[in-house]
Amino acid sequence: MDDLKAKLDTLHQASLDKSAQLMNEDRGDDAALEKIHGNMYDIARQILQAARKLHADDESAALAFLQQRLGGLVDTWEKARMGAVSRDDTIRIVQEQIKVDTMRDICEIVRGFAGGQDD
Amino acid sequence: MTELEAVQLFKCLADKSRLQIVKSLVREDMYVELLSERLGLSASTVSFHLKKLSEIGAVTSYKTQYYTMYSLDKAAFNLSLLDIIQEESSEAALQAEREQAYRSKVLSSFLDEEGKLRTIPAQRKKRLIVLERIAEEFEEGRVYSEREVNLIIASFHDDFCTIRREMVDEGLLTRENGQYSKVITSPAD
Repeated sequence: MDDLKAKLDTLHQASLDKSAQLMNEDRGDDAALEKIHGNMYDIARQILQAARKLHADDESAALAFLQQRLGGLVDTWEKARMGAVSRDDTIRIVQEQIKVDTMRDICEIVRGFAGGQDD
Repeated sequence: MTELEAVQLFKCLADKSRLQIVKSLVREDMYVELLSERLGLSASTVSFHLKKLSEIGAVTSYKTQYYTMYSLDKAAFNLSLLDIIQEESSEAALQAEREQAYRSKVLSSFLDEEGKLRTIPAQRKKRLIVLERIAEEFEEGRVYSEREVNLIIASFHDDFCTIRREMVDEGLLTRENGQYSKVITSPAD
């Protein structure tokens, strides 16, 4: 679980650094989109922290809790994205797509760690 | 172009990614994936920026058999910066009101009930307002002797020498061969 935390911390920091770089390049909107990306890692970190508190003695249960919560978020944001599509709200479509794609990537990372636990 | 439209245009173009997109489209119409490849941006980011550019009328789109093509609306860029800033401010009347209110405030501070100057303002911008008020007592196109000038100024303040000199320095009066006349100013001054 420490490795998973470290991985999420690294990805979060990398996103913050990229956002800052984009701001320096006068790409303000790209920086804002990158921030959305980074926020997903931050959310995952916080849920991981909560999962470890709730299931302090059971790593498998903590991982299962984390996967369930992250999966729920993917569903919520996918619905929001579909709503944006129906309204032809391009800006919102892009923002929700970033959330969905990033959270799916995070779920994949967590699955990888959970699979390692099962070995 | 209204002030609001100018602000929206400047805000939209004050982004390097959007500027790169516009610079690409000025050369040829393009579709999202091509822009994405050329500029090293994701397709969704390009779509995001094209939407913003469309909202200000900088970019239009049309469908071909395979793609939605985007093209620059050159008419939106046909104004020069000078054209934009030469448009009268939407706040012109309000600005004139504020300026007039400031002038009135200065004059009521420095002139007494009889219209005499209590003291010559130390601050230049306030002094200029007072001098311009005194200049109103002079007729345009008329030549005055120094004595006549002194008498007019003395009705405001005893130190007519200093005020006379200041009025010449500030370009409100001209002096030639000991004679004075009021400088005629255009509405823009």
